[in-house]
Amino acid sequence: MSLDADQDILQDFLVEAGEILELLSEQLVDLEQSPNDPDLLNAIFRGFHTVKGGAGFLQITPLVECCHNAENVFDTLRKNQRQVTPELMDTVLSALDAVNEMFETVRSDEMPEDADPALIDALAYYAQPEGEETLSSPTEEASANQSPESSETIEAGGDITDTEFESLLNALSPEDRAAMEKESPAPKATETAAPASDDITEDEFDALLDELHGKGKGPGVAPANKPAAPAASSDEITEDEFDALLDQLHGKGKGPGVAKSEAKPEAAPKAASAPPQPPAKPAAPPAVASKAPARKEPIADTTVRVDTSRLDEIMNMVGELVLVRNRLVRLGSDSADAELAKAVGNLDVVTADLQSSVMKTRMQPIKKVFGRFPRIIRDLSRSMKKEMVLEMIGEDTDLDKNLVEALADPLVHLVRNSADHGIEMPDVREKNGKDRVGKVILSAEQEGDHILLTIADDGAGMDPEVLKRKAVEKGQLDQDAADRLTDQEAFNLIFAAGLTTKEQASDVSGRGVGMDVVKTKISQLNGTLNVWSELGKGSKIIIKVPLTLAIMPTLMIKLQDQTFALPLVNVDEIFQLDVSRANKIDGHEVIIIRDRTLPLFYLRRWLVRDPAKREISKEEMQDAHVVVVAIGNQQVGFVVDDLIGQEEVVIKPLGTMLHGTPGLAGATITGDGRIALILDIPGLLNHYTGRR
Amino acid sequence: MSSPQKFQAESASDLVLQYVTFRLAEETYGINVMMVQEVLRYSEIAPVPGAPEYVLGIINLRGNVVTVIDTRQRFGLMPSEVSDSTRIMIIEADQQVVGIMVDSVAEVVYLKQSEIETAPNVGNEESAKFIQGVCNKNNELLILVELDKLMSEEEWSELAAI
Repeated sequence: MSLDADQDILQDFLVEAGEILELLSEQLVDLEQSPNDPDLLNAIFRGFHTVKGGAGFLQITPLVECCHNAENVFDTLRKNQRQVTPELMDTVLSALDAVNEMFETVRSDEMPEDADPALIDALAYYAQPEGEETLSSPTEEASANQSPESSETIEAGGDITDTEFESLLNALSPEDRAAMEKESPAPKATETAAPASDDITEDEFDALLDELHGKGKGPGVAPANKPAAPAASSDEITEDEFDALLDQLHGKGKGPGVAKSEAKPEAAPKAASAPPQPPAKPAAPPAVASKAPARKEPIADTTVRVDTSRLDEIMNMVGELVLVRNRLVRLGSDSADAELAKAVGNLDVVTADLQSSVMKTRMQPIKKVFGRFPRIIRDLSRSMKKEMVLEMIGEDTDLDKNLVEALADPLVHLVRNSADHGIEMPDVREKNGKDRVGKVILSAEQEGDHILLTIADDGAGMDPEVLKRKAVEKGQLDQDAADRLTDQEAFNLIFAAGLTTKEQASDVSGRGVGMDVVKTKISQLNGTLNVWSELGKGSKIIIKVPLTLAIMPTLMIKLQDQTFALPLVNVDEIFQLDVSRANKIDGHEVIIIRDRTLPLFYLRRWLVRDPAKREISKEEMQDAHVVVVAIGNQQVGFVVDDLIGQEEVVIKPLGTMLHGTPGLAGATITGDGRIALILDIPGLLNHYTGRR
Repeated sequence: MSSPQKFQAESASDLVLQYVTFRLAEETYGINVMMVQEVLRYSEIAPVPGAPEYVLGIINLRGNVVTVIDTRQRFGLMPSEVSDSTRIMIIEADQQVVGIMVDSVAEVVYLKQSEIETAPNVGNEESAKFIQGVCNKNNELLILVELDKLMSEEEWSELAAI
């Protein structure tokens, strides 16, 4: 079943609720550390509530139900009627998982299925104050704060908690608390009426109409029993649901009109203190105006969502601007006009600033990825009965958005590895004289134009000898080669496919494929991986990735008049050599460098179109530039005409027509506005030598 | 022109189309103006090794890389030297932007739908398949080019075969 909701509203909901859910996962883990933090409890409560509100508006009932029950649990928690226990956390976290799952379904424009009834029951159980569980079964509890219409359960229940929440927030004064305790749980039934008036302004106009008919006394009773209710309700609007309210006002434009005609005859005879609903509405915005500056100003929304392709466009234009500037700078230096020189100088500064600002807009803090780790560590420590803490350093380090997303999976894998393989069981740790609680440190820092990510643990460390033995057993190395490996090289064996030191694969790790994937992924990002480990002390894996994916460091070379760029990650070394004396093995030219034999190729023969210009003269051969490139562990030498130097380039895709041209990764525009082709070295070798 | 045809054309208020004309060898060709993004003077084209033969190379169009097609080669004409009047027309067809190199670009002409005739089935096959129709204007034959075909499926299979 698909959702028939307005796409715009749905998108807004997805974006907003997505962020809240992300935040919730962090907050829930924090909560376990500080179970009695009232701010945190309120934040989580509000999170669930907001998601529920949005889902209710879109009529995604399963999501509403799940959030509603979770919300109830936190309502009980903040009223100190129950303590946070690991079991409760498990339930709440699995509720969050369920919500996330439903959320994904909604994202694909489908109506999610109902949550597992067992989960809902469990939530309902925890929603009851401690010690009262036996007195009221979940169903009774639910019916206690239910309005006559069973369909109203969710909204009405939610609003009760709202109101109480507000009074709790506003008034920590004893009499209010006392009043509240008196009220609950018995007066709940009468109180239902008060929220009913909230309901009108807050949640559901349609539902409201029914309700007004059903129990017309609602608005009248509310002010009588609880004079604070109207104030509280307007607070509620300002804080949580103003946006939702506005949406509703706009979206259901007919609402107020209908409500007016329906509500007036009902409400007017009741009591003067009960204002008819429509007038109450206009009152809400002014309340916002007066309240917002006072309390909420610092959190005013200053962000704008922009499509990354638009940023790329801007980036492109800035690149062009830089070229124009370069041309102007050159012209300016030729002319003696001081004014011109000044203007060009200014332009120079402004473009540089503009360029870096545009770069920054693509940056995101790595917190986005780090945020999920506390939960992972928490789940792992519970499921493996280990004790560990996660320490995160440098969460605010910024890096390219694409990179943030691409790094998520490898990092998750490495952290799981550290927790599973690295950290020992608490008893073992104690026996070895270590703290029972293992520590996993995740850190990020910027180093020049690179980001260093470190995943360190103080666990058992790795034994190079064991690694070597495993590799030999798996037939990946022969004994001789294994013996020659340094410890460092042995650690790198963990990245080989199929190697695992675990005898038994668990559901967490140990199948021997993960590290291979991590390595591949990181190299795709033009990054490198380093392993350091000391037996008994712990391990550390250092990932180094460039700040952005859009820019690639290259070595610019020349063949005849054309410029080409070799990705610098592939380049090992450069030297001059008299290649006319190169040896020939089996018809292929080879050179010998430091006792290693490398195949030698003339790039000109491959990449210059005009056959007349392809051949290399004797003189050229005697003083040739050789670039040694590495692909995996294989090295080859390329003879090039000229070396220009190292340059960081912006990769531009070749058009659809040329897409897939062998040996080319793309093109780039050089400082003087000309085009240089970026070579894809493995593809190049593959195509022109027909090997591998 | 026969009278029923004329009548029909007038009743359909005879759609007026604009064509950009360009010259290749001794002939004048036309491209629907809606497909032409801009016309550039010849600038250095970077050859692309391994690309199909009719691809001259790529140029930098304000930060974007655009493929340039050798139209002469595509139409089965003899190659010629680049001159002062050589132009690169940036066209958008089949959801891609490409440049086509032509000897010169002349003007924009207005053609009535009724003036366009289907191409006589003569000439070599290489060029015939890109021709949408012909038009006789001021005693000069204008060949209207079907751009989508210039970069059509055959070329894709050609690319794939490399």
